Amino acid sequence: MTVTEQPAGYVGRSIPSRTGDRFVRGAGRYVDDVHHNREATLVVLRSPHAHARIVSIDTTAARAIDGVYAVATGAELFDEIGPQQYLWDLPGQKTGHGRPLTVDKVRHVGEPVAVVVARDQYVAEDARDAIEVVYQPLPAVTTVDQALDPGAPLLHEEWGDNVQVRAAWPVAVPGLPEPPDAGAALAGAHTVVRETFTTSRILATSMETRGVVCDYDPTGPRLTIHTSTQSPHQIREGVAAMLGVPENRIRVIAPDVGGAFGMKAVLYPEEALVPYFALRLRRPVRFTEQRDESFVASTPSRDQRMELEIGFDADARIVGLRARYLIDLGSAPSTCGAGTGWATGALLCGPYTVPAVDISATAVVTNKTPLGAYRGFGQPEANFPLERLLDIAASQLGLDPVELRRRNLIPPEAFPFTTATGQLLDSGDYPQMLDLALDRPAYADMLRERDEIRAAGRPAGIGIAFFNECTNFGPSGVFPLIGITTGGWDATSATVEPDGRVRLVSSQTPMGQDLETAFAQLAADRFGVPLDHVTVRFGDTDSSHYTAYASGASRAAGIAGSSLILAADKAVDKMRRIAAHLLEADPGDVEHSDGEFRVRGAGAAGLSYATVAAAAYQGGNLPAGMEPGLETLGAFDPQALAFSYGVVVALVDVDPHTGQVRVPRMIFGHDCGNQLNPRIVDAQIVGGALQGQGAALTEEIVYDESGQPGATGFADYLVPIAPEIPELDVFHTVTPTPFALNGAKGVGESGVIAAPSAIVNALQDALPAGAAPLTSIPVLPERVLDGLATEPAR
Amino acid sequence: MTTTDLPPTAPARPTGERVLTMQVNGEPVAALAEPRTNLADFLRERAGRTGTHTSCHQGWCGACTVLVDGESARSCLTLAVQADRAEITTVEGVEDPDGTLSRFQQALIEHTGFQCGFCTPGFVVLGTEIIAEARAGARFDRAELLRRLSANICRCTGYAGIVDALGSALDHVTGEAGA
Repeated sequence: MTVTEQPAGYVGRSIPSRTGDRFVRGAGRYVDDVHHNREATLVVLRSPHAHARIVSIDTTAARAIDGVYAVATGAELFDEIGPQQYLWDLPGQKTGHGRPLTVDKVRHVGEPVAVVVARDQYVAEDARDAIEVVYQPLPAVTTVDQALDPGAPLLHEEWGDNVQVRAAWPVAVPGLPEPPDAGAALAGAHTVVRETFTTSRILATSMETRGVVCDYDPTGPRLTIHTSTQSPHQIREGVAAMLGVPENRIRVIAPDVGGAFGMKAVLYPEEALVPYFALRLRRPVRFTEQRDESFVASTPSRDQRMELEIGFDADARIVGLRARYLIDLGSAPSTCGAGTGWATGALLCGPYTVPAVDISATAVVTNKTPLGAYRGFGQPEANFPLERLLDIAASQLGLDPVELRRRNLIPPEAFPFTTATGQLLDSGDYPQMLDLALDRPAYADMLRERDEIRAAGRPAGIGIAFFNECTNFGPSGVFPLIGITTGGWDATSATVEPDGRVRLVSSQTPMGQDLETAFAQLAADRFGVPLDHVTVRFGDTDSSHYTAYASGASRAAGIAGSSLILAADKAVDKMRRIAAHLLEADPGDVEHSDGEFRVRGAGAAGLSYATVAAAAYQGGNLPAGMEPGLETLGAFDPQALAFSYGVVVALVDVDPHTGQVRVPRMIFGHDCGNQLNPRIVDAQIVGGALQGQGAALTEEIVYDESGQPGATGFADYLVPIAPEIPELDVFHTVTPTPFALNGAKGVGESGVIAAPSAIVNALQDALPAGAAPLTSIPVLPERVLDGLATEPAR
Repeated sequence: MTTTDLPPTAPARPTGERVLTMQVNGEPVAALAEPRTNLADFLRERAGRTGTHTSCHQGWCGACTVLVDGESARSCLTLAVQADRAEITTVEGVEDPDGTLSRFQQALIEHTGFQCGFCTPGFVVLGTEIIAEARAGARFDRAELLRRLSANICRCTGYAGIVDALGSALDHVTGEAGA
């Protein structure tokens, strides 16, 4: 069922963005645009060593510089600022010092060692460079194999080893039948394929780096913190705990956020340091992360190596899956912990019927920047091994890769479907999606273009990958079972103002998803008012209701959208009761349409929003016992997750001389249930797919043997640029989720999950038959040239 | 007061600070800057024009692109003193004085040529320069357009909306020329 009919209301229409007008004028307001009188600037001195003991720190010269207000070391702040909290706290996880600045020892290049607060960025950097630190270098642990070596140097001596946490599936649940034995299934399989895959360490690199600006109120500990974050309430909670300031004395504001992609989902050291120094110096303090430091100070993600084994029966149906994988967590858990690694295992079965699993994950620490969230959150790390291994299996089984997938996709009649790792998949028609992709005219164009490229003497190939995406995160009741310490619900406040106009305050945080437009559409329909009668506000803990998770995990449309519906319905219901009172009618006889309340069947004129609102605020003529005012709160906790899904088909064109790869065409089929605004959905897919292309072909943070990172800027870290974009054919089906009030599933992360797999499958198709399988991303040109040098199989 | 009414150089201060004068979006600006102050910081923090964004301070991303005497420049790699007495156009100066958006700005909204909006000012200025070249007779095919847009990085959009928006604004210029 492809979308064709035009919806009656605003929802489902490609309404232009409300944010565009201010963005194209340069009128967006980001953290670094916020200034306060008497503000000082904070900069962080970061470790140049991957692993070293701090012998001494001399700050004398730094303190002597004119315009320097404070210099502090980790030892000096250890008792001043408490340890960070952990959003993902898997059972048995080990943690580091958790302090904003390290003491005694550094464990990765970029770890904060000392801090300077000064008149401006220039003076603060001068003073930072004048701090003298004597380090005693220690052997660095830079690979997961090294970390697990029995004789390896220990990052955290008190741990006894370099293992941060382990997890395994299936999870036996008391009272339920024993999970099926994957070992026996694999032993009895007709065909077993096995390979080891690597998904490299990459970085979100939002165009706006991180930043924190804290105002100071001389009347007491009262902080207003502007920070570039996805999660204002989580930051408030963290800062309160670390500084010992009550939450009701802290206001966290996320203004316009210049991209985040998960990287800004967690608390960072500077978010505690800046308010700490604002209180200590009794003046506003600001921090702006510089691009070079962002490569060591903002959390990267992915970085897994997985040995994956899948067994098939004689009909090429999957009988069992075994995975052993390592997560390179960096030097210590960020507040995200080993969350991405956990998600990889929990979601490893993807869209396929896998009867039995034996999965075990180990997160290890190395002397690198701590790992965090990035768009896809563990799912690209699962999709790449799975989708590559299916292609490898297809050639062994003598089947077309599409046919192998068709045989193993979960059939539509099986939903809701519980995977062998215990995930409940809500709804979908996966095989239909696969067939539709191959019926696209763009697919015929792709075949033709592939043949043209080959005829011109260049290698070309086509690859396919299927995926599903875990969205609408998530049911609070389940969170404690998976190591998440907060709730998964979300909230919206709705106010009908005295003039009858509607103002919403969402607990979400826009960072490019255009929630302002989508939520206005949803509210206008629900209230039955014109779109321009609705305004939407975000990102301020003093006005947005508490939410633990805010924006992330592709949850805005379904979870926050459902909370908006609850809030709107409560407001409309209250207005209906007020209108009934004013009309001297029974509330059950009062109907609401087109922004008016009228008695059903009575041809008389109805009461407008403005009339009803005026009564609500005047307060003297309301139904008995009703409180005045028209402000409501909706909070929505989903019963279950919702799984979006899709298919990616990619064409690659290889330069045989340089090994450089172009992706001239891509087909992207997608289903995220009901769409609030198809324009926004497409934008998320198109942008996400190009990020996936970067992950497939160019992006990687390499560390050398001494633990020095190879990328500290866009010169070394190649994000896609305009000439690299494919001609992208996006199409949709619509399978609503029963677990959100509006039937919407998320789309934010879908673009990145399977694009790398499809591109690398295409690249393998472009290489000579017999070329060694491509098992790592990114596939850099040198690897492509190696593959091209393969003697063609005869 | 026009820039020429200001003294050529103010007395030196210990940090080497002196008063610089520029026309920023048609308005005179005079403010102190050290020799090491870059133009982006000068515009944002001394001239109060925060529409120009700095993303990398390394010259790679183009978010801070402004026009200096009509030519695009990385304001993070331009020292403020280099722009003394220059005419600067930032993103805030692209719209008409009455607030009417340029055709390219409108097209960016129509084609969703932005998401988070952070790189948008750089693309607006870059596109404005390209359109000015087209008005002067230059013609751009798609490959050349993509090459020019490779000056700037956008991490959100996949560039598709930006390319379409600029293409549509350029079509209009070509239409004007043909009319």
